[in-house]
Amino acid sequence: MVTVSSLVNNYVNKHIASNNFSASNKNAKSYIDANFQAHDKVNKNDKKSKVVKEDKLIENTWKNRVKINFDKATAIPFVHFPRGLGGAPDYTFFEFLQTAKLPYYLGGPILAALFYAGVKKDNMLSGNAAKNVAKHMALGVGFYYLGAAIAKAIVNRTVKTVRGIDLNQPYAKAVPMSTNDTGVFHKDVEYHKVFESADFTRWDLLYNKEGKTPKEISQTYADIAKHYGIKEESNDIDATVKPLIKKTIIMARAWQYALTAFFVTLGIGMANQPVWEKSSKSGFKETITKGIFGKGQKMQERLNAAKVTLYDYMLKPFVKSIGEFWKGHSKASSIAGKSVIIATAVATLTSILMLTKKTSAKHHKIQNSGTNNIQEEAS
Amino acid sequence: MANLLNTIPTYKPQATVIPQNRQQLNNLPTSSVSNPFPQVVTYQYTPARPLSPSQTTPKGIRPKAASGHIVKENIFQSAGSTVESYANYLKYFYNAAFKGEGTDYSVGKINDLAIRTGSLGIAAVLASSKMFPFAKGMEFVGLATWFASMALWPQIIGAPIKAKTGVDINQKYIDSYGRRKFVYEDNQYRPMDLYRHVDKKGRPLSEDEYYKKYQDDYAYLDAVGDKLGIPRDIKNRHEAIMNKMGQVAVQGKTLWMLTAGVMTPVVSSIVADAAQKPLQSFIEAKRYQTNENRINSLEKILDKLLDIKEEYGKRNIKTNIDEVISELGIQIPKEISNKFDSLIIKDCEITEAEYNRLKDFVENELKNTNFGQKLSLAMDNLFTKGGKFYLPKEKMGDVLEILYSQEMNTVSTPLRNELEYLLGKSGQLDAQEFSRLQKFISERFDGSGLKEAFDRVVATDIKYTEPNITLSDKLHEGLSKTAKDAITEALSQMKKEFVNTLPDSIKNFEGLSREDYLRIIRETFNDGAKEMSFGANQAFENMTKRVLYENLQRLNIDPDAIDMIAESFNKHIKKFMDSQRHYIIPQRRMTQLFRYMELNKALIAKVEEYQAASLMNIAESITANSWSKIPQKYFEALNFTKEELGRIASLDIRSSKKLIIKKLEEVASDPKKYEQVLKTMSRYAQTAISKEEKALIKLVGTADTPGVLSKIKDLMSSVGGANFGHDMGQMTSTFYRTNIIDVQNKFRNTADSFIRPIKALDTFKYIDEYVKNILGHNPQQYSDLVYGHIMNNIPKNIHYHMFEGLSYEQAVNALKEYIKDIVIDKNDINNWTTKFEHKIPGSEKSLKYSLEIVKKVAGAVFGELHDDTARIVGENFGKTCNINNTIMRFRNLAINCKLARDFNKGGEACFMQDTKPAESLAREIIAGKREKLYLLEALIDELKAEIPLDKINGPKNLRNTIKNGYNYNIIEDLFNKEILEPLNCRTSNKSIAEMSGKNISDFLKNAAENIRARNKWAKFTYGLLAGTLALTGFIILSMGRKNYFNKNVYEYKNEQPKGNKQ
Repeated sequence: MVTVSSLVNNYVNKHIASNNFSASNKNAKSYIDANFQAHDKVNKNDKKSKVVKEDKLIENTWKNRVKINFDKATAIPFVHFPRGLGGAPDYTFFEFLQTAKLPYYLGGPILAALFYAGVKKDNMLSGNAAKNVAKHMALGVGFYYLGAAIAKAIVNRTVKTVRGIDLNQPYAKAVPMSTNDTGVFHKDVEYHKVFESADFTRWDLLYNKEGKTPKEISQTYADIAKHYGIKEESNDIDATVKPLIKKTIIMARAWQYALTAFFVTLGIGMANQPVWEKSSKSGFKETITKGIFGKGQKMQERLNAAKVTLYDYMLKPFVKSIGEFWKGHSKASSIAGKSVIIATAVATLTSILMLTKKTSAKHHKIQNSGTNNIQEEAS
Repeated sequence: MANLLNTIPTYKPQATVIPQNRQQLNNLPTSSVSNPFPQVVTYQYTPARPLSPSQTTPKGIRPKAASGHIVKENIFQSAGSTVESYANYLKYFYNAAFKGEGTDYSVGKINDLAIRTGSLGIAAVLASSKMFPFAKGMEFVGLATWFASMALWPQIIGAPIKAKTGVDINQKYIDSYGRRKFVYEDNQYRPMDLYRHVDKKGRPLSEDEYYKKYQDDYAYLDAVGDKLGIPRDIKNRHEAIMNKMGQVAVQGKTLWMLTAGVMTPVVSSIVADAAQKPLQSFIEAKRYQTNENRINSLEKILDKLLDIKEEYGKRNIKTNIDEVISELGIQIPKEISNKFDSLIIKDCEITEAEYNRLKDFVENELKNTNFGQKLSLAMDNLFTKGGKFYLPKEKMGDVLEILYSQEMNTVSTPLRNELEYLLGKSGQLDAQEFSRLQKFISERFDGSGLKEAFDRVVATDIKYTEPNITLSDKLHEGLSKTAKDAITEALSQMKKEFVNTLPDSIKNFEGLSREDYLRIIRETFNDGAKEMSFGANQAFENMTKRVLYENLQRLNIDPDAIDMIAESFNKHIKKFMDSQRHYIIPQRRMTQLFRYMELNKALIAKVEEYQAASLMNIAESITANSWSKIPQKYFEALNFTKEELGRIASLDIRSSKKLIIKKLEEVASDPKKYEQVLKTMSRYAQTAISKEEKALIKLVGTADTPGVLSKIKDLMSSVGGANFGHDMGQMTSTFYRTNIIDVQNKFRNTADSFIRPIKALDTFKYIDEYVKNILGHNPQQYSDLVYGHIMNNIPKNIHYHMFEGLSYEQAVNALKEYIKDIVIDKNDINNWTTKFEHKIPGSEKSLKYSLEIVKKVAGAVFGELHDDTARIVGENFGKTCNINNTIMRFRNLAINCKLARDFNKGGEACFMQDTKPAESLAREIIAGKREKLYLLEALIDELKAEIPLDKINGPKNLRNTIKNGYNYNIIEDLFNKEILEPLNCRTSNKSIAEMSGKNISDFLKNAAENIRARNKWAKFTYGLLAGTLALTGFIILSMGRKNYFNKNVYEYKNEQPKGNKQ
């Protein structure tokens, strides 16, 4: 049996989350000419068709992640931008967010390139300085994105470990073909994450639809509930744990953003240290091309080169740069370095502490008969 | 179940009824259907109204009325609400991060906040890694421009889109929850309701206001629809319009995302670049002003201390160090002075009798004095150890400070002496303590300029005592260790086989036995005495040696081994005895010396701070800023082509030099160009030089008003001399003199760098004249010089020997080439042989034989400007150029070509015929020097800035001497002493490159590199800008049009509706 409340939720949320509320949409099909048929790829017997018939969870494996990310990345230039520039009527907010990734990943490198373009490279002395500037800039850009990624990973890892929730759990969202009245830049699936929205979490996907008893149906919720320290087994275990999950999502997102601020600052600070000036780009390149992948190298030498690449060129300066950032080269920079490192550590610990302590069921009054509050907020 | 679900009201929108008039609208909902069957129960059905959750909310719960509205703000209101929003975002963060409360909206806003905070953090980290205020500032300017362009770009593309289509893609509204959102944020959520009561210009009105103006709702949409070209007579026009607006908005926002990644950095970069110049000028001016104010107030105090009066008279210079320190407001860092005190003061050990005497002082003579109270406090803290009295050093610092202060002047001298004797014991340091003191001093004052003087004073002032040996366990331990060390060292020098033959008692020597020790003591110490009597040190040393020697002899070992051990022991016992010496530190003097050194350090720091802002070669000083701008202007003034620019920047210095020479020749050959270029250059040179000159005058001063550095020199040498003797005064004076000369040189070098290209053009233009002056105006004169002329009895000039074999033309060309080369490269005259050799291959060369030519060449390169040139650049600046050139010439002629010799050149004839009467000789000398006289006068006038106060009378006298016509010996002496010495114009082994400014090829090459780097940047940046703008324009033009996605199919009103085709 499916509980009534969950079904209601599901139904309501689904509608709100997808595409309603439009003054023009009398109903989903109001736009379509009765005789109009989308150029549906399925009709062309395309084997590669990615048509997804219903929303479904995707296992969060390495392979799937690569596939999803690849699909999402290629869709940005080949689907979302053309559709957006054409002003497709069924253009979604998700697509807008996807296009927003372009300036995010383009801005940093272009700024670095602009900066480098203005550096004097003609004579050896300034050329050397320019190289170092370029190195710091490139590293800075790289460390910026790395810092952001680390901040997210810390929170995700914590939530996964303590609460058993995979914030990155992907699902494929079936996009109604019927709205796609052109068929060009064919759009049929969007990859979302189950927990991406705190208001419209896809609770429905977490139920086992094949289940026969309430226990079987809500098995995922029961598993999560254990992580929250809810011991009693009730039919309503899903209703009990949902508010807690919601709380966790909100807290996790807030800390992800906050930690990002700290880690990108730390990353830029580290990239700016003199230790990176010591190793040369060509040496690094040679070690990889000639050392690891060079012709006629012995295995032992290859391994050694790989070790040099990883340890001497990456790990060692990486660790050292933290030390140099801490020490600083002047009073101001030493204060800045120390405070950034300490603040990052404190923020990280606080986030872990908050996510561990505050989300647990121990701090909440559990109402067994608890009905879920429907958030009636328009998005 | 499915039925049940269907009955639940959802937010499913229903058909919109387009109201015909207001009355009807108000009468909605239309639930009262007339009932044809009154006997049947009437069910009422209320369909959910579109866009209004209030209609669908379960009954019994009072819904909030929908109160969303369009935001219409001007730029200030918008800024205000932004600030307000960020305050809200902080609240959102707190609620979300610590309580887990929030919504997607609020959490999304935390991201905005985090991005801003992170960026501020990055800017702060980068700024902290920069050393200078401008660089620091630029990090924040970069941040600000980044966010500004990020915020500005959508507005920029929004404006033409709005103009073309009437759709404002940046339109915001406030929803019923009070949250600010973009109207077109989500394409699938189109809040048309918002536009119900909005006038045609897009201003939201209250309902009453609206109906006063318009009959129907959605007047705004109708207006936009007209602009978008939506036909008027179609069904559901407002929806059609709203959809079209949606299309434009999606297009606009996608365009924004497509271009933001490029435009944000590009616009930010351009704006930051534009902001750079004003920011730099602002910071430079501000920084200089602050530093000038500081140095001015320092100068005021210096005037007071130096007792400078209007008229030059006997001055009463303050020489009391403490007074000077406190007047100047100098703070010796507390931890440094405490460390020093703790190093020279220690627990003071006194006898009981001395203790009683001190007590007597405190209770009688010193009663009620500050000092007495302090001393009594120190004595209260007195502690005893081993039957002796100690005064703790923590308290002694205070006591000693007063003891050596002026306060004690009221106490009688014998009493003071006695106190100093009693309390001064705390200033005796043992060897270890003394070396600790030395280490501290050298760490603190090495490189401060006066360390050498300090050491000299210390060497004469610090005495050390006889080895001070007292009976204690330590003594036995020390002697035992000495003996052990000595034997170990001796054994280590012997062969292994030999060592093996020695008895075990030697190999495993444990140290001096108790009996031996007691024997030494018995022999050398008086009965019952704990301290060795005076002069018994030698006896003690000998006795120790003897005891050890006898022990060794008793062991019956090889005499050679005994000798080796004895020798080693002699060395070690000496070391031991030395380590028992005490160093008597004259505390007061040492403290004063320390304070004097600190004073010196603080003053230098103050001056350097000012220098750093003005004329030091350090980033962001006025000098550095000039250097970063003016060479490029010179380069531009010379009108290099783009191709030449690229080649000069990228080629090696030799090849680029050729191009530069070619360009200078080109300019010099065209009188119009020549004048124009010179005028531009001299204008820039004056700006660059005048700023530095201002700083120079501030620091060094002029003849009548000495500058700060000169005043410090006067003050410090007086203070040093008065307190620590003539030597110290002299060395202090020398130290500051060096500083002054450094500042002068610094200025001259900068001036030279900017004047050199001007002089180079001059030399290039008049090179024929200059060369003719050297080689003769015609082949005959040339031949006379090189080969002599038998007929006219002219001997051949050995200085011209290297031209032998060359025709007049060849010689002229070779010399021209050489002079051009030397002008461009500003070679040291020492390069004469190598460089000139290169021009005239195969000739015999030696500077000794070519001195005269070298002088003349130097005149052409570093001489005065040609009259015409001087006229072009302006008389005053011409004078400045000439003076600078002359000084550089002296430096250039480093080898036995002093100014005075050069100066005497006009009187060469007189030298040969010194039979003439003295008076006429003098007159002739003066006549010969007439042309130089103006230069000298100008030099003296101009050099007021360079000559320290105490030297200025010399040149003044000299000028008068020359005017009155005096013995040339006096002139030469005076000139050497009074001008050359202070100007540091004497012979020097430094290369000219070090002593003068930049050479022209480096100067211009560097400028070319800078220009090219900037051009590359501009090309790249503006290229991106233009490309993106073009793309943007193209896309905007196509917006709102019919396209693949939007077919613009409408259903007209007169047709019968079939489906909902639009």
